[in-house]
Amino acid sequence: MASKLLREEARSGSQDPGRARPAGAQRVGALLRPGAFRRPGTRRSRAWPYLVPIVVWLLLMFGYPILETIRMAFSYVNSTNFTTGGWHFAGFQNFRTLPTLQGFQPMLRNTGLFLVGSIVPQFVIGGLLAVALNTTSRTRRWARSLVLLPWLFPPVATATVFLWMFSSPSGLFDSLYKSVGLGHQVPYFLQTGNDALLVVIILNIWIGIPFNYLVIQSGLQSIPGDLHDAALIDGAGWLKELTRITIPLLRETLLTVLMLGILGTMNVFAFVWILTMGGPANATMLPGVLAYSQAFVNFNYGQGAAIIIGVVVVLLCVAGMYLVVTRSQTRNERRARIYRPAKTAREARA
Amino acid sequence: MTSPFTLRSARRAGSAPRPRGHRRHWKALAAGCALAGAVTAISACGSGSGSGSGSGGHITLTELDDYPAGLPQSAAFKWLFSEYEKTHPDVTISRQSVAGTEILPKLLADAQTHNMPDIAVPDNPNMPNLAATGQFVNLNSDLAKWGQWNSYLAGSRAVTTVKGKTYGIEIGTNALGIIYNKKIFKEAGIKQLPTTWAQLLDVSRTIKSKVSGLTYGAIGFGAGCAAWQLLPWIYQQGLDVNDLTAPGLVTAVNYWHQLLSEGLANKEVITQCQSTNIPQLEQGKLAMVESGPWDFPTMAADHFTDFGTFAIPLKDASAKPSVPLGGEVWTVPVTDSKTEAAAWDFIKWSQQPSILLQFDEKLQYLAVRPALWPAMVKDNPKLQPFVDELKYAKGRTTSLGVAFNTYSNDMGTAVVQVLEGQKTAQAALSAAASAAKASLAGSGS
Repeated sequence: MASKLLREEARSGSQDPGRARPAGAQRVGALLRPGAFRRPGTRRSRAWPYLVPIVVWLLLMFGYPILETIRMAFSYVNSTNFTTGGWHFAGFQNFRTLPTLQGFQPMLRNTGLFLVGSIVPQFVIGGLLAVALNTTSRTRRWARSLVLLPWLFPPVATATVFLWMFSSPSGLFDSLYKSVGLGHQVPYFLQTGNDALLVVIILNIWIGIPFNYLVIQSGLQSIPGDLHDAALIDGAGWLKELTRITIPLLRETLLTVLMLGILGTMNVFAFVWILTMGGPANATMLPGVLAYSQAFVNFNYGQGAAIIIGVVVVLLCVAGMYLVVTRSQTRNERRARIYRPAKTAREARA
Repeated sequence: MTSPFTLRSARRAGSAPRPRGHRRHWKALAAGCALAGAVTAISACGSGSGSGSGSGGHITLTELDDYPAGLPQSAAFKWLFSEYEKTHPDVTISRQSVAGTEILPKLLADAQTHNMPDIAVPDNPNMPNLAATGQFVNLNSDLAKWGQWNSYLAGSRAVTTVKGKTYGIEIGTNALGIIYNKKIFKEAGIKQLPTTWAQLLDVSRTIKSKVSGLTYGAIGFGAGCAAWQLLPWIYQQGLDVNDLTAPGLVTAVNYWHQLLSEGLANKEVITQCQSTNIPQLEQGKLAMVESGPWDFPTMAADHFTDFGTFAIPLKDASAKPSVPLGGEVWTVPVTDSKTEAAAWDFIKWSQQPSILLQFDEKLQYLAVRPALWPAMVKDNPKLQPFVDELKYAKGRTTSLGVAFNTYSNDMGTAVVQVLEGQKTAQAALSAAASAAKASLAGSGS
């Protein structure tokens, strides 16, 4: 329906709404308003019965577990009362005692290193690949498929392969060291704290590159080619084109990639558990692993739930910051289109 | 016929709501609710229990153990169930298995949803946690009627009993000892097996100096193994995992650290469990492994027979041999009286000496009826050190209950910190003691 309305807009005279015509810009702005696509006389209530199944499903499958997790985080829940009920209210006790856990301080440090160490390389490599493969040729089409391969493997399988590669005494790197006569200097990657964290980070980068590549490439392809052509005619170099056209127009895409990268990275569990189980000595302890360990190894479900609630709060803050940034940008862009259209048009012509 | 909800009709600009729309609106609501109900019902049916299902006189018992297909022990369970089905044609036992680390979380989740198997075989330290769920049958009266319970190993009876209620019978038991590669010992010229910590160090040094490229790797400590491997070295000093700051425990951890720092053990012991060391023992890359008879079937499957066994050496003359008691437990989860009776009947049948002997020999466990030990040792003399140790074996949760998990996991982290060289034994164990105390207070235990 939206596309049809946009087509109607185009047919009725307005051109590319964001570029030159202020009226068009206003109309697109109007289209973005909630309820813009509701036809006069159409009652919104007609649609909601169709939503009942999914709403019921979401309430049962997501709403109830979330409420139970919150209740658990504020209760004393261990293996002795997990099944039988009778969870006594604990107030903030589960949250207060978190710093006393052996894995808590290492978890904070590791999370910082893991986030920065994973997201920056994922983003840079994924972005560079997207730029490099943003043209059509047979080789590049193949290369694109190859870039997406890591995404197709289940994390469990990937972790198992990494486990074999980095394990000693019969792993890939171990064998390589021995084959070149360095058997006495075998690196015990998974048994040495910082090395183990590095292995986990490398694995997360490897898994994350396809997503970064895919989203950034989609963003690149949505930039009209004539802008690049115009820049070329104006004699702009690749750096100027990148900083004046590509990055500004990709800003929302890049922010989305970063936000989703943070969400995904904060929530990793499966491959870390398979690779190191958070060890050695908490060297690869991350929030998901600590929560699982507390809940299902130490059977302190209350503390496990408290960790999860903490992670959710942090992630909500990240998502909130994303919304604030993107909304303020959208508002600024709209204002720029509405109040300074003539200047923009002149600039475009120049 | 066009639905009132198609785009075409919805786009009819300015159209007023029609009376028929109301009816259809409620029809749509009813259909939505029905669909939601159906989805919920289907999902509920999907997770339903198959407990004790059967038609007529036939009954199917579901069983859950922690020996997944592919492990040699899996065949022992299959044999046992087929033997029972031969003599009890009205019963079928449907087996399911999960990894050892998963069985407790799975049973706790099953207990929460009242979706228990008819027979469960958890590891013995899980018993206090499982008993607390109230989803396991107290077998006291059945055992009293049966009248043979007193002939079982005292330590084994203790690990299946929580607060005076007995919830099961161990399928067999085992203990930790040291399995060594005979060929390497011969090449190193070792004639006397070590019986003290000092002798073990000497033997390890001899092996390292005389046999090129071989190291000692008897620790096998890693995440998931928790305290299991260190317990004999603690128990023999009369200590337990809650004595984290005791000098004896510090000495034991320092002893392990010495093995590592002198290169007598490889650094890989930090993350490896005992079973992952067995292939290296077979290939002659390790001289010794701290493990138990449960690895014998794996070695038999690999046609590796040139190995010997000896008991965990003692610290000094003041130490008394004591090892943690191993083995899983036949238990009867709460289902219905007919299914519970059938499950108990199977367990009772499996305890017949002739059946028990064959089953435990296939598992390479030691029977919890000590009367069967001479026959087992006669069939396999390598079991002798384990039988000797079992006389003094101690249940891990017998005195600590559910707190054992917390203490042992915090101790495990401390041990790895020491082996990694991050902290001294004293500092790491003190921190572990504080963490365990806070964790137990935080959990309301």
